[in-house]
Amino acid sequence: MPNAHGARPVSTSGLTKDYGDGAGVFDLDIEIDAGTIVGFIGPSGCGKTTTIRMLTGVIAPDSGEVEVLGERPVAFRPRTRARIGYMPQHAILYPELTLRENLNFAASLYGMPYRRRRRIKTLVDFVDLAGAMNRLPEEASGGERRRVMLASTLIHSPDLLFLDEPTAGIDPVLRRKFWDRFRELAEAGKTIVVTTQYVGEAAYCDYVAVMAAGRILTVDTPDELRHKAYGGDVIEFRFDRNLSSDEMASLESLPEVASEEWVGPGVVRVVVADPERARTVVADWASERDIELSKSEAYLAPFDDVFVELISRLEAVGSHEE
Amino acid sequence: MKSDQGVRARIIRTLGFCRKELLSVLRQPRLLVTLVLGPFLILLIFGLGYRESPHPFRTLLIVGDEEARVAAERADLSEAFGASIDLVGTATDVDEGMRSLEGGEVDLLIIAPEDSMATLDKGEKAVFEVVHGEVDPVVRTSIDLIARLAVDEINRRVLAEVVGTAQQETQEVDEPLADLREGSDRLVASLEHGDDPESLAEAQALNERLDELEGSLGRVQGVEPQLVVSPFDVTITQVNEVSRSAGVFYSPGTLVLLVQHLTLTFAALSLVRERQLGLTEVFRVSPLAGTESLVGKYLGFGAIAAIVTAVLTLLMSVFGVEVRASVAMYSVVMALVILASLGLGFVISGLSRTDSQAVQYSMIALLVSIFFTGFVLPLDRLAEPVHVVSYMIPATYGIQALHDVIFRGVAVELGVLAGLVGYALVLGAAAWWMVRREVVARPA
Repeated sequence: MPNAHGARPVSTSGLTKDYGDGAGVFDLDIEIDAGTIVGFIGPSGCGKTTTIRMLTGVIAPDSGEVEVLGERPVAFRPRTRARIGYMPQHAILYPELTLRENLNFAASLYGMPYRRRRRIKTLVDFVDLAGAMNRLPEEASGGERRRVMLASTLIHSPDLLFLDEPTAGIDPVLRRKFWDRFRELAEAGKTIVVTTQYVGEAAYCDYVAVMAAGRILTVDTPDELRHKAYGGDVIEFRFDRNLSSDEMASLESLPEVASEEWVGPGVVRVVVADPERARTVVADWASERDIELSKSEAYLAPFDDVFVELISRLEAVGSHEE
Repeated sequence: MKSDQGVRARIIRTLGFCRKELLSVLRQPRLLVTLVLGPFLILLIFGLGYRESPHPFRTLLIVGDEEARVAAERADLSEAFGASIDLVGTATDVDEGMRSLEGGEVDLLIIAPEDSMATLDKGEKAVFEVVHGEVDPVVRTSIDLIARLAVDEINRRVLAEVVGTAQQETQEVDEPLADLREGSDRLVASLEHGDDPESLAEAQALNERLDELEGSLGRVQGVEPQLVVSPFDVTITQVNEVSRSAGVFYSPGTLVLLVQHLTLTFAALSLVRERQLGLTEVFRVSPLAGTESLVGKYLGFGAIAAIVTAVLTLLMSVFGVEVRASVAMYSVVMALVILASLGLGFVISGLSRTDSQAVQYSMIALLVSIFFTGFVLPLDRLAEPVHVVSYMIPATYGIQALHDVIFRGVAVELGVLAGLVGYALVLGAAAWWMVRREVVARPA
């Protein structure tokens, strides 16, 4: 990842935590720049939370090197810890304290002065919780609890945020709000390391680390991941009629077309290396056959599909290399 | 607003924990009531219902024959057996008595020896047999004591009867002795007019011996038979003028046990709950130090325990328990009890994997405290090796210290105070080590 903001807040090399029986994280190499949102995406049990725990110093790695804000996480100085915000996977709140009292307790954990009312109000507005702060956690919804957790994580204005599945179990509207907030924070110069099971959320990240079986399969921007998943850009062509099998074979034989797929009546998706050139070539090809091309546009495949495609592609490459 | 990492931040973190613990407890009034009022009410009911003298045993006296039965009933032996024995009847058939015992109609059978005079004549002791069906060792000991006291009383009465009879028998010699005295006086008078000085001297010596004999006989006849058989009695004086009621005596122990149980339970649940909630993970990432968390918890739970102690002390004074030594000393003792109990609670919390395990350990600590701290039994009733267990519990020191401060009105023994201070320090250090282990990440 290019370093656009000076010293890298997170840097690992060969980072490993082995729980046995194939569980854990192995040979993790990653460098994260300041002011970016980096998403760790992968199926449940692929090692996302273990990675976050090693990066925050909750657990010590078995081997490898890791530096976060220039220090080994297990030996963080208090001053360094104060620059980090950590939101664990589950909403952890004291059940006897109201949401406001829980937030106040989080503020005191970071030694924030008692004149913190304005900061709390700002955060409460930030997470849209103004009407719920005097409720006990059991009286709050799952989404409200997650939002208090996010506010607690942000209470001390950390420079580096580790968010472990912050959107798990909350509705899509709220998820979108969360990602909007994360983007605001990144634009304010904060670095955000976030894990998620929702593959579609990869689109909100600056960089995505795809994980499976405790290893990072690839790290790239969302667009590049799409590219990697399909072997090029995908363009959706809409014709005035269905193509025959001979016409489909003819389309695939074009040198600009890597592959094609029939999607529906008159609709074909084509993987190409050069989208602009491909559009021209396919338009000419249709004209020669008296087929009317009504529309051609770039197809942004959902990240769920991208992820499945990517995993199978990368695993195939891995097994071939073995 | 950036966070601060200086001394002020440390104070804020510490007070944050203190406030959190206070709020957590105050938001659980039922827990507070259960932990404080529950045991208090149980002990109060126990104190009010406790009878200092045991209920008398319903007793059937079995004698050899009908004549003896009538004689026994006429003799009114109830007084002889004492207040602990309620003589409900007299019978002659042992089997009938056993049936009454087995049927629960009576608690004791006292079987009088048959033909005791003949046994005594043979130079053997006549034995009363006491039969009961009790299983409680304390009651069995009580029966043993009561039976021996009753037999002592019977022996005393028999002896008094013998002495009285002997005194009566000596009166039979009064008349011959008076005749002898009269003859002797006449003999002395006649010899005084004669010229036989040797005979006169002998007669006068005889008269003096008669004087001695009359004097001795008079003393034997003049002494009360009861005084002969039990010449000594005892009076007991208590120098500290403290009420001897059981309720008052057990109050300090109850206070110590309640405060220890309360603080220990809160502390024991504290760390384990945070671990189960997953908060220790958040703490590990934060700048929190183990000391800040621990001191905050000590302050929070300590404040609650102090309030509870003040309320219970007030209740104790209502029931007539007064602190005879200085209130400052009393406060120091209770503060040390609270500190040591909190330390023990945190250690328990560090050792427990779940909150139910922590509660179980707390209950075990309460049970051990009831039996091994001198609360129920004096410590010297326990074998020396068992004292190791006793002195592993803060309440042992606390109860001893409060007995000094409340009842004796003296300063606490230095050893007890040092034990309590040492205990609080050692447990505090162990608790610190455990809390630090919880909230600080460990390098591989």
